Amino acid sequence: MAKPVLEVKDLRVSFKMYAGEVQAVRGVSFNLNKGEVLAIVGESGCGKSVTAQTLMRLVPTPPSYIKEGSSILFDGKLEITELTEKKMEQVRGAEIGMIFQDPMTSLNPTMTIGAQISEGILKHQKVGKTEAMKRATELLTLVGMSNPEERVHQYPHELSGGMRQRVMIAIALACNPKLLIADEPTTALDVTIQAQIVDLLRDIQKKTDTSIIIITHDLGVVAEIAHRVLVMYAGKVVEQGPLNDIFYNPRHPYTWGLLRSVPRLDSDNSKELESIPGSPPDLYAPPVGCAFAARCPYAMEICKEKDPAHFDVSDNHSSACWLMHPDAPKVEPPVGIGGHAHG
Amino acid sequence: MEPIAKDKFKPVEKTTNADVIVRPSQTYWQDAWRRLKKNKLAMAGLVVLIVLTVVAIVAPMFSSYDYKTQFLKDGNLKPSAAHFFGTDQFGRDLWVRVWWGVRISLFIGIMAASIDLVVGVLYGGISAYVGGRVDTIMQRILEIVYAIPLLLLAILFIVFMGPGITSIIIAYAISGWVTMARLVRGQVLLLKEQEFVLAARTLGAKPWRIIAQHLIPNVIGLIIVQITFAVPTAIFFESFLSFIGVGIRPPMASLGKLISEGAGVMRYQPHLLMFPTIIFSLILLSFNLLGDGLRDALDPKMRK
Amino acid sequence: MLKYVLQRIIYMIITLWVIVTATFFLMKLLPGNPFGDAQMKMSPENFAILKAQYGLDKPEWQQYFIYMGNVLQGNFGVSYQFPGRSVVSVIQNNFKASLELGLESLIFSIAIGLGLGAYAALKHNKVGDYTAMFIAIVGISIPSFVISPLLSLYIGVKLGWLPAGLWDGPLHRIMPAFALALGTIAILARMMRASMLEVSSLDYIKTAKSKGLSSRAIVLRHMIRNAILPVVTILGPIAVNVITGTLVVETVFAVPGLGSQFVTAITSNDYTMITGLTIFYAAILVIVVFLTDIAYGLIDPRIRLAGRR
Repeated sequence: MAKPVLEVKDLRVSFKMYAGEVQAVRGVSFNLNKGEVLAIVGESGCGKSVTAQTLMRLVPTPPSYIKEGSSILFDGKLEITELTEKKMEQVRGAEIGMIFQDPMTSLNPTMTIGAQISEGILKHQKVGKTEAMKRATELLTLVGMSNPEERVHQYPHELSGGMRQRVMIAIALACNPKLLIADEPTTALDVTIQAQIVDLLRDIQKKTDTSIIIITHDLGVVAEIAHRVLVMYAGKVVEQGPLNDIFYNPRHPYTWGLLRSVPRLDSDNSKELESIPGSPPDLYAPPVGCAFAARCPYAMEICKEKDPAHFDVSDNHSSACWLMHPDAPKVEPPVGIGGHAHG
Repeated sequence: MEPIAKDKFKPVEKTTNADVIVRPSQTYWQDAWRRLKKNKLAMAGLVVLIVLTVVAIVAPMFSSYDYKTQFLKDGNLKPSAAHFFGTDQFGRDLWVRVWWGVRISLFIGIMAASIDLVVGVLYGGISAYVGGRVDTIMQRILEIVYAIPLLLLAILFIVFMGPGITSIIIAYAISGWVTMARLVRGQVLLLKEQEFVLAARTLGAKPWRIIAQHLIPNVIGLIIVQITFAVPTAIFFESFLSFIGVGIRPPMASLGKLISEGAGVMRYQPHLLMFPTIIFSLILLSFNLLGDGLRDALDPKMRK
Repeated sequence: MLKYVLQRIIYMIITLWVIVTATFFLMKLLPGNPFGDAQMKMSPENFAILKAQYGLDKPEWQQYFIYMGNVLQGNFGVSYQFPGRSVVSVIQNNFKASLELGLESLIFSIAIGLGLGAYAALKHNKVGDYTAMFIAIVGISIPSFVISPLLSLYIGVKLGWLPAGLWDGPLHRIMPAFALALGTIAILARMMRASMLEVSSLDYIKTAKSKGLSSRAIVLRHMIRNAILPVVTILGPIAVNVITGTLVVETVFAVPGLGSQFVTAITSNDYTMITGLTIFYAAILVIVVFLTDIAYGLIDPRIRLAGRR
């Protein structure tokens, strides 16, 4: 097998604040292969966005710090955590592209769209302005915008939200990056537009064979596009595995909770949607033991004393839960878990 | 993996409430005060203002001179043990005159800022709270008034009214309220749309209750900051008028008047310029430092 | 954009009308007599002639229209203290020096103020930031009527490095322009800093960073242009600052401008001169605000292109 595009090992990120240290990411590890789409899911504040932005070193230091011992190995040769800012500039935009959550605020209001797309091209490739503009027009066509020759001269306020997100995608793709990170790309959009953007991302992935990391809390989006899923809770990975394993055979109580809180067409409509009681812990003072224990209906004594290790379910599916321990009582997943995921 | 005792895997009763907040909670004001205390410049400003106020109240009471009696044979004395700041050309004690000036400046500043507060908050609050057509009309008026250089009209007003403390306060009030009204309106509009106010309204809370419980506590930080800046602006305004000759009436002298008189004789009697200048700048600087500190401490956007 | 300009013009006209009307009613309603104590010195017959000359024997509403008509024709009346001099001739003779002083100090303060503010924002929470902002707050706390005499005394008289007054050559301009600019520099620096910090936390800066742009390019291309936008809106109030500042600075440095004429008019109770100059100043300020609004529309595509789609 070829080298993974991205190997993240024990990534820890903290924010230094007045009131103390917020441990936003607490030891995240995963690999991403070429052409693979990885979804990172979890509630707000679980550290998924910080993880994504840290991959590109976009979280400002201070207040954030990547802790000692963390490793982000890109393309088998670049250690992102150790690169100088100058080197990092050559990676951003050229090797890794990023799409942000809110297309209404992510574009510079006083600059034409063409200028914003060609900016990255001019920085990373030895081409002139005319050539860069031509490339910007092609990119707009690629992301499915009509009249690209006119669009390049327009300003963001002349476009709708969905259009702007397409522009963001064009910016991220401008230099054919090996990795595309999409941080909640659909959250701020209308439902119908969301589907279009997800379709677009999937098409582009197929055309260009780019690896994609998509951050979302929308399991519908995950089912549409992802090959593999990483479930995060309170700054840690609680379960990871192929899409079908996570949807059909989830092993962590938190994943159960997430899946049960999504409405589904094929389930019994008489049952109410379930929510996970309580709220995530405060990361100023992360709890001892499993962070989910306080909200977990299956919590055991050990859960409040020791952090669970990652137990392998299969080759590429693991869950960080003491229920997986051979001595633990056998617990059946609640009814309604397991179902169809789209390939 | 190290072995784990089997009894550790017994399910536990849910005893702890998952919603318990671990971090000690701080009220808005505790938090603001803590941050203000950390700001050394703002605290220095606060201390200087308190000291200056106390001295301004006490110093003239314990001096054997007053601000108006002239001792022509003691004219233009340099600072000494008898006259800490020296005397002016009429032999009046500058120490007492400067502290009287501080009294006047602070009085004008506080009075003007209070009028500002009442008019601005009422105008801005009503405009935003009532909304609709009333707001549109009040906004149009405000926009026009804002474009008028009120300082110039205030000068004109005093020229015709005749100088004096009252004229100055009214003149400042004419021009000062606009900024406050704009700020309050903006803030109230913002709050009105927020969920907690909507919720209160849906639950049938009376308007005065919504105003007292939800709007005022959330606007008050902004108002305090604005007042802290309005006081030095009014003091500046008065001194500026005194300097160009339409300030308060002699023999009483504000700091601006003293600076103006001092500037006239600065080549020969520099102390008459130096002392009022230092005290005056100290007052403005302290208010501005304190206002900056308060803004940082009370602005929710800056909260971390 | 055309609609925007028209709207601004209408606002400008309304504002000017309000100012002239307010001036008129201030003259009429307030206890001060436009002729001051002259009434006592004159015989009743002479006083009646004077009143007729100014149209004061007619009913007040007629006076209002006469006054309006005169102002519209650029006729602000004749100085009461120096009956030979019309307000307009004073403006013609003295405005040039004031305008030069004002523009010089404005250019001075925009260059230094914006630079200082941007610098402070880029050094946010570091020594450079604190130093720049302390300088700015001191600048705000030392008004022109404090700094002008001090400069004139120490640099002009005691050290003799620069001329302590008058308006003869380039050297005469440095101190007045600086004294006038100090407060404006401070205001602009603080505003620019706040605006830069605001912009630097916006999402599109992160987008720019994610393209791999250097921080230099981000600051120059994305931050400064957007940060200047809100600063442009306070150029109106700043012009007020500069104009009121000229009153003091011109008096202290003996600059033969309109500001020192205004102060002289105030101290000598020259009512027609005061009202005439007030209207003139007010008109300038209103026009400056109007031009600022138009400039704002030109640099912000959201306004410039409104209605194009």
